[in-house]
Parts: sequence; C-alpha cells; structure tokens
Amino acid sequence: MQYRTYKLQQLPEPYTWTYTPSGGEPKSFCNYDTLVYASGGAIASNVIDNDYLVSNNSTINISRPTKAVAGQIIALIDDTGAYDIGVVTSVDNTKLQIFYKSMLELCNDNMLNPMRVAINENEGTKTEVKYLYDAVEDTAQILASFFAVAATDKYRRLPIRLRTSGGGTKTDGSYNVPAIWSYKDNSINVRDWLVELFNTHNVVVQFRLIFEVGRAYIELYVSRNTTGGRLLKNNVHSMRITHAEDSSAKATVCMVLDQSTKQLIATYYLQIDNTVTTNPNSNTRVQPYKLITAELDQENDDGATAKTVAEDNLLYGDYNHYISVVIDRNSAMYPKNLNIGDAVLIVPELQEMTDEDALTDNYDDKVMHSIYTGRKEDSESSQVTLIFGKIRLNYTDIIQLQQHKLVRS
Amino acid sequence: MRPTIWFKNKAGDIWNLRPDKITDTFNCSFFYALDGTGFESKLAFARIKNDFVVTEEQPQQVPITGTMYFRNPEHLKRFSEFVGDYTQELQFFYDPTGRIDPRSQIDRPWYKWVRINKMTSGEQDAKTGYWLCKITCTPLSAMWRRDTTIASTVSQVIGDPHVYQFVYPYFYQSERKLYLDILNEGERIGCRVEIKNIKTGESLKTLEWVCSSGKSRQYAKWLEGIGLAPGRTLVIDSTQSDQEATVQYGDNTDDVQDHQEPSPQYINFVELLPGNNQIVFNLGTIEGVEVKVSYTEQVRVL
Repeated sequence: MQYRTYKLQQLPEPYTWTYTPSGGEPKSFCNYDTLVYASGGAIASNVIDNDYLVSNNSTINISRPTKAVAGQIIALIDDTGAYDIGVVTSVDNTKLQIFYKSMLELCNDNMLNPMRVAINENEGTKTEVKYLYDAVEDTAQILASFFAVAATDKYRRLPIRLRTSGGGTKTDGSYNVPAIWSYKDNSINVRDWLVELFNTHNVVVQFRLIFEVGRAYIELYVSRNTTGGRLLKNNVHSMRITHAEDSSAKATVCMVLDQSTKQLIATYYLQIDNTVTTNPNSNTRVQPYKLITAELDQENDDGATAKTVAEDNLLYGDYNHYISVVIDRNSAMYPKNLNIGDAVLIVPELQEMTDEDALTDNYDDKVMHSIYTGRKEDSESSQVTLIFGKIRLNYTDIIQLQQHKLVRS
Repeated sequence: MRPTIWFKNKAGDIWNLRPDKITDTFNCSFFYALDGTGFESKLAFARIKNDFVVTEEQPQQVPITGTMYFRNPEHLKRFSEFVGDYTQELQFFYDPTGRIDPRSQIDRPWYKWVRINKMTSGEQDAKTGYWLCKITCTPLSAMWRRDTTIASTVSQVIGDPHVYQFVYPYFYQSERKLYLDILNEGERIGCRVEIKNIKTGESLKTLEWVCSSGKSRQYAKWLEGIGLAPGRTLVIDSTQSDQEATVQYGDNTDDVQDHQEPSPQYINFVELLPGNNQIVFNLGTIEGVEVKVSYTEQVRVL
C-alpha cells in the first residue's frame, strides 16, 4: 500500500460552479484552489480508526522521511484505489510515522451562526437558514457557503463540490428530513454540528477526492440513507458479531416551551411506531419516561409548530447500540462498498432447521437494524472491525462524545 | 501392504515417492519412515463439578516427516526443479491401501496441501550409497481432502404438491425440480454451487434450493426480486477458505451478497453433511438451467 498527500494550490483563475438543490433554484459557488501532489511513498504498516462520531487518529508507518505536513489531505492507495482518506494531523519523521484523522476534521472550525447573519454576503454566507430547515439540502449549502463563496476568507477556502441524496420535499410540501435550527450562540463548530446532525437525524457527510484535468476538488456528499440498506448475515466464515451495548431511546417525552416566555405549550409522547402524540394515555407509548425540553419560536414563519419541534427531538434518537462485526479483509464476502451512514440489517444468529421446523415469514425479533458508523483495522491482522450504532464502549471514545455534548449544550 | 505416496505440483507434474524399484530416478525417489499422516487436536474444557465439557477444539498442524533417498546430487536437483523455489505449495497424496496408481485418472485419492519447510542435504550414506535427506512438510490443512464435481441439467416436472418429506418450501404442480444426490464420505464440508441460466430471453426468478440430510434441512434463497438473466451464472461457494457469492457475466463478476434471503432460517451457504445429501433446486418453470455442485471431501485420518 502507498500514501499520497495533497496540498492546496491557488488556481490562476477561480471558477464558479452551480448547485441545484432538489426542488430549488440553482445557486453559484466559487472555487479558488485545486489539490496538488505534495508527497508520497510506501506504507510499511498502518492502523486505521475511521470513526464518524469520535475524532481518533489513524497511523501509518512509512519507509522514508516525508515532506507531508499537518493540514494536508492524505489518501491511502492500494490495488483497488483509495483505501482511506483523511487529514494529516501530525508527522514524525524520526519515527517515520504520519498521523491523520477522518475528513470530517476539515470541518473542525467555528463558523458564524448562519441564523444570526441570515442573508449577508459580506460575511460569507449565501444561504438563508430557516428555523425549520432541510437537514440534507440546506446543510449542503451551509457547508458550501462556509468553504466556497467569493467572500470566504482565503485561508479557509476549500475546493469543493456538492452532491446530495434523500433531502427535498414531499408532495405535501414538508421536508423529507426536517430539522429545527436550535443553535443560538454567535458561532458554532461545524464538525460538532455535523456529528450532532448525524446523531439526531442520521444525516451524514461523506468526502471523496475528484481529480479532473487541470483541477481537483473534494466532493461533499450529504445524504440520509436509512431505507433499504445492506445485509450482514452471520453465515460468513470467521465473521464474529457482538452486540455489546444497547440503550433505550434518548428521550420519550418532550415538553415544548415558548422560546421567549418559557411557558409550556404542549407535551408530546413518543410512540412505538415512531410517531408522537399528545395523549398521555396512549397504550403505544415508548417506555421508560425520559424527559427532554425544547423551545419553539412561535414567531417563525417557516411552518414549525410545537409538534414539529417535538418530532425533531423524539423521532430520530434510534440506533442507540454498539454492534461490532469482525470479518476477514481478504474474504470475498467483506462488504467493500459499505459507506459511513449506510443503513444495515444485521442477522446475528442463524437457526438450525430440521424436517420438523416450518419456515416462517416473521423474523423481525431475530434481526437488528443499525447504521454503519466506524471501522478499525490494523495491517498486522487481516481482521477488520466494523462498528454499527451510535454508542461507544472505549473509555476515551465515551469521554470524547460526552465532551462534544458539553460543548454543544 | 505398503502405502503409495506422491507429490503433485501446481503444474500437474507428479513425483512418486514409492517407486517400484529404489533405483528408479525418473520423477521419483524413495521416501522412507513416513510419519505425521494422522491428526492432533488441542482441546479446551470447562469443568462442571466432576465433569469436563469440551468448549473449544483447535486442530493442529501435524508435520509430515520422513527421509528421501536420492541417487546422486543431480537427482536431488531434479526434485528441486520439480518443487520450484520451495515457496510453492504442493499436494501430498496418500493412499494407505497402496492400490491407487499416482497417474490414475479414475481414482480419487486423498491429499493435503503442504509446504516443504525443512530439508537436509547431507553427505552420501556409506552403507547404501544414496544421498539421504530428511524432509519436513507442514500441512496447510488438518484434513485429508479429495475433489468431487456433480453436474446436472435434467429437471423433472413435479405433478403432486406436498409430496416431499420436508415441510417447506412447498413445491407446486408444473414447477421444475432438479435433484442432486451426493454421498459425502468425509466430514461436514462446504460446496460450490454454480447455476447457469442457458435459456434465451427468459430470466430465472428467485433461486431456491434445500439440502436434506437425515433430519437436517438447509435452505438457500438468492436473488429474490432480481432474478438471473440469460447467460449469467450464480456462484455460491460455502467452502471455508474460498467463500463467495457472485453473479458471473461472462468474464466479469459482480458482488451479490446483499441479495440473499435475510431470514435466519435460511443458511444460504449450504454445506454437505456426512453421509447422503440430497439437494433439490426449485427452478420455477424454466427448463434451460445448468447446475453444477463441486466439493472436496475431507477426513482427519485415512
């Protein structure tokens, strides 16, 4: 395996590109830079920890000193193409090591709260952020506004392009993935916001390097892919599925308060069919009682109601578990095209059948629906650990998650 | 009774280790003091009061050892040329009855894949006049194996529903079935199922089969809702080291592991149990289907 690092280089002339959101008007953005080769070489060994929820370092051991420096984009390349990409965080030429984090580290920076500035091109924002917004389409445009508009600070610019999936509106005009913009601070950490968006709405941002003649850019793919999904069944030799941790819904009751007066507007209860009700006596209420409070801006003109706010807080707190799947990297059954954020159906155990057993159609209680959130592997071993769900067991990972939550709150 | 043993390299050449005469040197040399053809397992136990229950069995690699007799250094050199660069894997065939000729095209002898990891190269033996080389081969499997392929394109129209001994799936009138009866003389082993749709213009819908052995039933269902287009081959291999699930489009392949039946009652990678196995393929209403099942029998000791 080999590595390549890429640095930014300003183009002789910037170029504009347009993005047309689903059901919306085309919007123009501007790229000033391209990606150019900075360094590369052979990899002696590597330890990859690619986790969407926590910001862990991956390490590669190289054979010769490198010219790579922190901040550059690194790609690990094997026979099949880019095996992993990330952002270099540090280089140790004495020990011949390069440390890098996932591409989400590019977003580890504060931006002005887009709600505060609304439409203000002088501050680098072109997208009007609404109180009730499209968690896919609007998220993509906020990111493009942060990195690639004419007014973006030249030290913050990135050459990017957008691609989205799963957003837009339904036939009744409501969003496919609605979200409430509840941040009130003047600034917000982009990475924290994206991780929280994944936690609460399963919206994921994936990164890909695209090389064209004369220029290169980073494609941001914003999507929510929780329908359908891949199948991981425990009928692959040497596969080990461990369902180590499970927790109930993060919240089951939401009290919606008025943002300015703090008066209680309504109380909503989560039901087992993933809907909300105001009826406390509903016999399909999810147990146990876990309260969350949320505020409604009653003056909003985006159509957000108390019910919208309650749904935003209650409906998407799923996949609260930790499932690890250990599988041999060399197996033909290794799910090579599994991407972070992909919905999966996991079948942890097979049922031995005899001539006396009848096949049944209903097996919901024997399978697990989950979401792919991370991968750990070491080149010393052919065993790769794929991680599913939003809970982490490793102590330092838990600390990181709690720290992020503290910062956000 | 003297066992016959021989090496076979990846090019298919044979080096007989039990020639008729010790003086023969053409692609053969005498192998003396054969050892390591049995098996060894490391067992882990859990103690429950005064009883011990096996919790884990780890088959061990038992080295195959012996002494090879070479007439002169040129003879040893020819053996080295046969092996290659000693990083090549060889098949070590072993017939304890001594009845199978190494060049037989009919018999199915048992073998293990081995790597030669130690070979001495000493002086000429004063007593025999031969160069005696002690050899150690490390087996890459704990089992003795032999390959088998069964192919069939003959299917039958089933007239009466519900007449088979297994409960599900029910087979209704006018559906075509293809039966394969397999006698597995070894231990439980994976097999490679290849189903090719050779009918022009008509896709094979869901591919389903069930393997019955005694009371055991193993069900498989693939490509539901997608089907198998004409000219394509579904390959399902449940062998430990070569497990795969692909659809072959002529030269290309495509990963289809998502298109297996998710129900935990469907094992999907059917294995052959010791003894008689009957695999029944449910082919819907299509006649032009070619089914091939190949497997490698394996035993611990011969």
